[in-house]
Amino acid sequence: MNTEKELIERCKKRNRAAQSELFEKYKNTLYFLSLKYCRNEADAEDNTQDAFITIFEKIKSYKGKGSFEGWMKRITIYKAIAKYKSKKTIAVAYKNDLLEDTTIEKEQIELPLESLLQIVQQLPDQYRLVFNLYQMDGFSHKEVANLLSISESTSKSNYHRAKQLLKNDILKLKNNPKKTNNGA
Amino acid sequence: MEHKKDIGTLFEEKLQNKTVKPKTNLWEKIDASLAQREKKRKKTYWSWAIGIGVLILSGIIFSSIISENNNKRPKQLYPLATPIQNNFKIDKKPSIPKVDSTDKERTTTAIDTTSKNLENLDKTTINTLDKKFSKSKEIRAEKDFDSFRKKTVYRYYNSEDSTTIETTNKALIDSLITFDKSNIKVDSTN
Repeated sequence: MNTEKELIERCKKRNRAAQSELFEKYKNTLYFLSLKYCRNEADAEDNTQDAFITIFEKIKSYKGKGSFEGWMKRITIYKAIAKYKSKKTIAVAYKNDLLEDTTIEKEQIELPLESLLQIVQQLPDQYRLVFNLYQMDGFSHKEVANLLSISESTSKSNYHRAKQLLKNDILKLKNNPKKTNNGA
Repeated sequence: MEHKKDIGTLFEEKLQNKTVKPKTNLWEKIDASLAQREKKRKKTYWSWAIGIGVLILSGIIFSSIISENNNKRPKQLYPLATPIQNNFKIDKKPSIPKVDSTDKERTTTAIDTTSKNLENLDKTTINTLDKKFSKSKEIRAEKDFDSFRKKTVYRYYNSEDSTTIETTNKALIDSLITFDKSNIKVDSTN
């Protein structure tokens, strides 16, 4: 059985079997990460594919500092951001009926994973990215602002708005399970 | 009792450490893309290698042509001066005016003596010059430079036998003048 270090070394030598092994090992993690950052499954698959190709191309630059999984996750996130930046057209229209309070009862969020992912995917692109970067992956607002080329205050405001939209959608889904609404 | 929590935190908890299997076979696409890139990379490597090879080859050819041309070219920038062997000329067949026998004898003796003196001087001068010019190229180059210098040519004309001597050697002329003077002295005594 190969250790991860050996697998990485073999991938650095462009060994196709090792690359396939690495893909099998991390494909589900990176695909799920892409699902959170992308609008739909097709986009998430494209993003995962692009991320793996970049990983195999740049694996020589990985010097073993920090977790390898973390390094791969960052590449996947940056790929999603790059995609978003390349087709950035949005001017988000706010709904006036959004709830100010962003807290919710724990029981209300007891939904299947697929539904929760769908709610996140339906957020406007910038909100989704800010929410994922800040909430899910631990980036600071300053880092988010730098990554998305927005101001820090915009990042904070987008994060708050994203939570309001999520709460709205959760409540709507609870009331009418067949229908979800992205709120934008 | 109500247990309200921030929706962001709740989502984070729900979606943390989850994985989903992709529906399509992504590896096939990735494999195809990697193979294509590999092909492209190899093509680039080859074109670089060929380019560098062509550069090196043309450099070698160019340098060999240059060195060949250098070999064909004369090594000296200035033409070498030939040894100054004919710096003075002796008109060996002078037109001698008709004179009486005593005059003729006297003239013949004078010419003989002069010729002998000249031959002796000639030989020594030529020998010295030959030795000098058989030395190193640097000395030759210096001699070349000397050939550009101004030279004084001395001419001796003997009115008695219409002989002309042309030389850069002043000592030779001086010796002839002394010789003439002695002749004059002899003449006066006679």
